[in-house]
Amino acid sequence: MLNKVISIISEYQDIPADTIHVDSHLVNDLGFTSYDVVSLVGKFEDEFDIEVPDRKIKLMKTVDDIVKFIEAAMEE
Amino acid sequence: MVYIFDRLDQYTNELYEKHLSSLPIWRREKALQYKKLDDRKRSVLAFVLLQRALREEYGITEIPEFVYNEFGKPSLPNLPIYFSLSHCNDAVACAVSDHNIGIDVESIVPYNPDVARRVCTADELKMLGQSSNKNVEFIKLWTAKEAISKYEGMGLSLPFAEIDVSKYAVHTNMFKSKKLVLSIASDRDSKIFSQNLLTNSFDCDIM
Repeated sequence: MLNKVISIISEYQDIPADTIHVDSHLVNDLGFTSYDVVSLVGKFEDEFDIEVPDRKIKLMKTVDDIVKFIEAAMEE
Repeated sequence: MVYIFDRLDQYTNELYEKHLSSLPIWRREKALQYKKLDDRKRSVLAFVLLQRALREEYGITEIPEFVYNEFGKPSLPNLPIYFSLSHCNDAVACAVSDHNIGIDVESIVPYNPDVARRVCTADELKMLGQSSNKNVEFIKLWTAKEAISKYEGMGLSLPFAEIDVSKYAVHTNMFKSKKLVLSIASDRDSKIFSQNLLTNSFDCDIM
């Protein structure tokens, strides 16, 4: 799961995967804009066949936040 | 007043290093936190623009440390001055004002209907559906919503689909490069902005 999430982020933002860590912050470390975050969420929805409510997007601040959200969503 | 710099391709590594070394330590550390050099450059430029704006508009040469609210909106403690920073792939922008203000600048990117469905109201989606220039019209909506979100100090905590742009004083302008759209939200009449802000914006000469 973690590796897949990092792979998607790496491809989206053109950052080497080995520099992205579980505690990397999307905005402050990886340079995501708000538009990037919303766009990225759509990619996770497609990849993992989940739905991310709009009000949950604000909770996705780090790679770890994303992984935990996806894991919980896939268990539902 | 809005300060915008859209010549990132001309922002050399040498100039970046010079600016970086002139920043307060806390801001330098924030810039260096970014993985990519381009993001570091944008972070440095945003602060340089703010320094210039405060110096030229208010005669302030020493910038105090920012205070951030719980949603990440920065402000200057103990000063009756509001500011807002924004950057995208092609530009960095800074707005300063005596009144609360939010600014957003975005590069015009290909229209993504999945993103639009997530952030637009039904009326806005209908408008986009009828538009012959969806790329620009969507970015106009996006920047207006993000400027409002920054004005409110909420970031993405304020779902964009719930933001009714028509209820705010928002001025949206396609910057002269035709690659960018810039929006400003404030509690002043947008007509004042067009006279006092955007028409007075300029390519910031930071050399």
